[in-house]
Amino acid sequence: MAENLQDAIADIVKSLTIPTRIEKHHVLISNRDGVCLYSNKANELNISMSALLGGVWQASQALIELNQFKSHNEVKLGFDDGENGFCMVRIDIAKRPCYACIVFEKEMAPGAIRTQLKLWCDKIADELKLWQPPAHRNGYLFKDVTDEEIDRLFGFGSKECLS
Amino acid sequence: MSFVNYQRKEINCKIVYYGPGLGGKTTNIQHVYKKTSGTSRGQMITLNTENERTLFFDFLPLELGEIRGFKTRFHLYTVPGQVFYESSRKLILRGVDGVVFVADSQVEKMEANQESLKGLEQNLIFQGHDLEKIPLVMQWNKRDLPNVTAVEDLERTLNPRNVPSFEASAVQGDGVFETLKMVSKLVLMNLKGGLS
Ligand SMILES: Nc1nc2c(ncn2[C@@H]2O[C@H](COP(=O)(O)OP(=O)(O)OP(=O)(O)O)[C@@H](O)[C@H]2O)c(=O)[nH]1
Ligand SMILES: [Mg+2]
Repeated sequence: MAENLQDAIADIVKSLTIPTRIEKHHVLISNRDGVCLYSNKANELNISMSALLGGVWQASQALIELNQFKSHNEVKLGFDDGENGFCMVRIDIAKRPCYACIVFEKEMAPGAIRTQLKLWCDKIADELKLWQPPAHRNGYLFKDVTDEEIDRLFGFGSKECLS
Repeated sequence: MSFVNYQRKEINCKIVYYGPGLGGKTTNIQHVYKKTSGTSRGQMITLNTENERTLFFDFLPLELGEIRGFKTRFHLYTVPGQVFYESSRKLILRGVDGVVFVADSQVEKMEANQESLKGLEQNLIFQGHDLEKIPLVMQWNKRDLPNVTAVEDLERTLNPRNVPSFEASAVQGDGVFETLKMVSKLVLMNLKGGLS
């Protein structure tokens, strides 16, 4: 199994058939910090969308916790007008909370795709049950970083960035 | 938490701009957005109140170049500075790798700066961070205004730990990239995990 979570998820998704019903929509999985772990569409918005998913879910959770709400059932989150919108479910992948989201358009049965999304995510989570994050690496990735390296890193676009 | 993908050689880090309301956090990342080209920046997300104050967060993903073969991506967030958005600030600080504290240099803002800094420290401790170790950079913003506290006084009051600090005028773009480059450097040097 792949050593990092993004590749591990990509491998599992390839081996499972993604239900056509959800496949035609935009599906994203992000981790708790809003980092995109998977998307079925190469889209430059994936990164910003994932950041919002993390924010939306955590804000909702915080709101509910202020009210001392405790649920023993599956929590789901949705925003739609009956045929356009999105819904989210939580999946725990390798014991870490992650969120899967489907953004749908002209969907006659949002409830049904949410159920399918959940089932599909459960399969992914199940396949990844034994996945382990890479063994802890000792020390620091970069011991020292020079100002020149940072300048090069920021060496895009404007002169100002190079100054 | 930073996210290092060793196979794909990618690094994702989260930097949060923190500070009192109206201090210039959003202006900082707006300047970064304006000055970066389309390929290196993603879509900026702004969740605002009616009068353009930050309601939840601003978000700007930045695709930088490579460092020693690792493609580097920074996620810049701002928190809402207004006092009553404390729970939002807590959420946004989760998993932070580096912080820029944007202080408002105006004399009458000293107390608001201190208050905000205290909140930052408490929130970081609450999340298990070691204040001595978390990459932190101070920015003395709004230096263009006439009625500002002397830098030595800001240093004495707000920066007893002597972390790197920069004077700035974010509306004019002065000091914005200097600050960001410094926090980026500290964050990269703080990434755990050797290459062996
Ligand atoms: N003169 C001057 N004005 C500034 C500077 N930086 C920001 N401002 C102005 O200060 C006001 C508030 O700036 P924002 O960037 O929205 O402040 P913020 O810290 O994001 O505020 P919150 O979202 O409420 O926490 C705006 O009108 C900015 O134009 C500066 O360096 N000099
Ligand atoms: Mg703001």
